[in-house]
Amino acid sequence: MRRITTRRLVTIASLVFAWCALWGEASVANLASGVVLAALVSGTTIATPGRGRIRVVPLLRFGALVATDLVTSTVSVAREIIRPVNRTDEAIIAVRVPVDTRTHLLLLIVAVTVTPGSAVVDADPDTGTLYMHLLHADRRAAVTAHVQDLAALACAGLPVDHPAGAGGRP
Amino acid sequence: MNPLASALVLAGSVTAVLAGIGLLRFETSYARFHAAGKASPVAFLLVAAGAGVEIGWSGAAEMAVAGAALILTLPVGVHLLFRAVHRTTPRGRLDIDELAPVEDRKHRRGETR
Repeated sequence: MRRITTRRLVTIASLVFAWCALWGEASVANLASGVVLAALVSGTTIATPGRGRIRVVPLLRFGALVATDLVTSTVSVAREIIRPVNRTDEAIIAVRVPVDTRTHLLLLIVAVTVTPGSAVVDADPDTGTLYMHLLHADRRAAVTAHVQDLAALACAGLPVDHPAGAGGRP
Repeated sequence: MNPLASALVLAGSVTAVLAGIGLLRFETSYARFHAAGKASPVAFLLVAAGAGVEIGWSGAAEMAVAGAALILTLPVGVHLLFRAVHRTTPRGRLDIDELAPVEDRKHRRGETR
């Protein structure tokens, strides 16, 4: 019997949620079959076996930060769209992010790219550098600080036992 | 219709219209991606949230799955568009471009990825 970890519980809960959502109702039969399937899938190597631990609180804070970012940056891009004169000042900047693995870098890229106003053009996993496109070059310092906050939360939420630097394998 | 649902759907529609206008108004490809590729998923999420409020829990759960799929896959596409544009447009279009020297150096060394 494998140890019940937070990671496994989170995996099973999300799989059961998706299963019931796709069936359209959370009946007892759906819940039971979902739990059985999720336990089977997460117990075998059908899905990619996950390693490392999950800390729920930092991950939730990560999600909350991305969600607020989504709202505020959508408002700022909308304001830019309806402004009569074009005041965008685009730039591609390099941001060094202190992440432990490539998985963290991937999470960070998705979080940054999903918010309007900033996007990742390219990433160098060997040095842990993100090349980000900004609509407003003068927000550079704020964006850099924000990305580093996100990186710290991502590393706290998915801790690895042996940090290998950004070049480490996930 | 539930007022909250109406407000969410309306907000989503306004965002979608703004994204369309931005697609026409912005001048560079990058800025257009910001409008089209980023504001429109936000519009989808707002409309989906409104629809979820209106049609109840089972519908809301389906909307959540659809929203999660969109949020996880769309950044990959947008990122690839950004990268493709950066690699194919002539240098010097932007005042600050800290990626260009890195790519030029790689190009000189003959590294192709």
